[in-house]
Amino acid sequence: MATLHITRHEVAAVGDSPRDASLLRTARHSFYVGTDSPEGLDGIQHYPDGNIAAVARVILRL
Amino acid sequence: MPTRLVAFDLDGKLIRGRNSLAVIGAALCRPEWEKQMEILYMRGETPEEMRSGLIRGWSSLQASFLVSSSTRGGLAPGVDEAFQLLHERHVTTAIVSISWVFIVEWFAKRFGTAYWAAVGFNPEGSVTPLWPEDKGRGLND
Repeated sequence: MATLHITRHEVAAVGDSPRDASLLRTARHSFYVGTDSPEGLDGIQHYPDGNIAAVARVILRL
Repeated sequence: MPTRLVAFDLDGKLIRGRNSLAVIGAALCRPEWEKQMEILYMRGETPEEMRSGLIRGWSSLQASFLVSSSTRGGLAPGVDEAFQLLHERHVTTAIVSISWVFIVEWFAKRFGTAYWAAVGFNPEGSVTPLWPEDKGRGLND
């Protein structure tokens, strides 16, 4: 973000496990893919089927 | 405010099934690499211990060969379409992963991502870890 001079409000992150928590919390828009539930991670959109193109469409508001 | 940057983890998101180290190890008949070369199993070690734990010749292995093996594990559904959609609309993409930098770099080039953060393998043989809790910092940078 610093390199691009952008804020977290302009950033989305995609993860699939609690190990991605810091990544997901840093971005304004966070997406959790896979069948496991994103427990302990509030405000995250969950995509159990894990289709990355579907996530991209949501990010792009298509 | 429109999204200008999308950051992805690698294993489990862009690659499905076994992680990249497991697939690479299996392809080279070295299943022990899945744990031996996983940075999470090096937590608490000194840089010298990390260096000594790396397999001999790891740095000289050809990334293209390693990763072509790993891609046999399968990309996630919709990955190529996702990057095409994002890049067509001038959204910058990045990979933030606790895998090794030469593996992540190969995938970054494969997908056309502009930036990546990963576990560093330095020319003198030392390791620059990227722990799970560092991923947010990697994105901030």
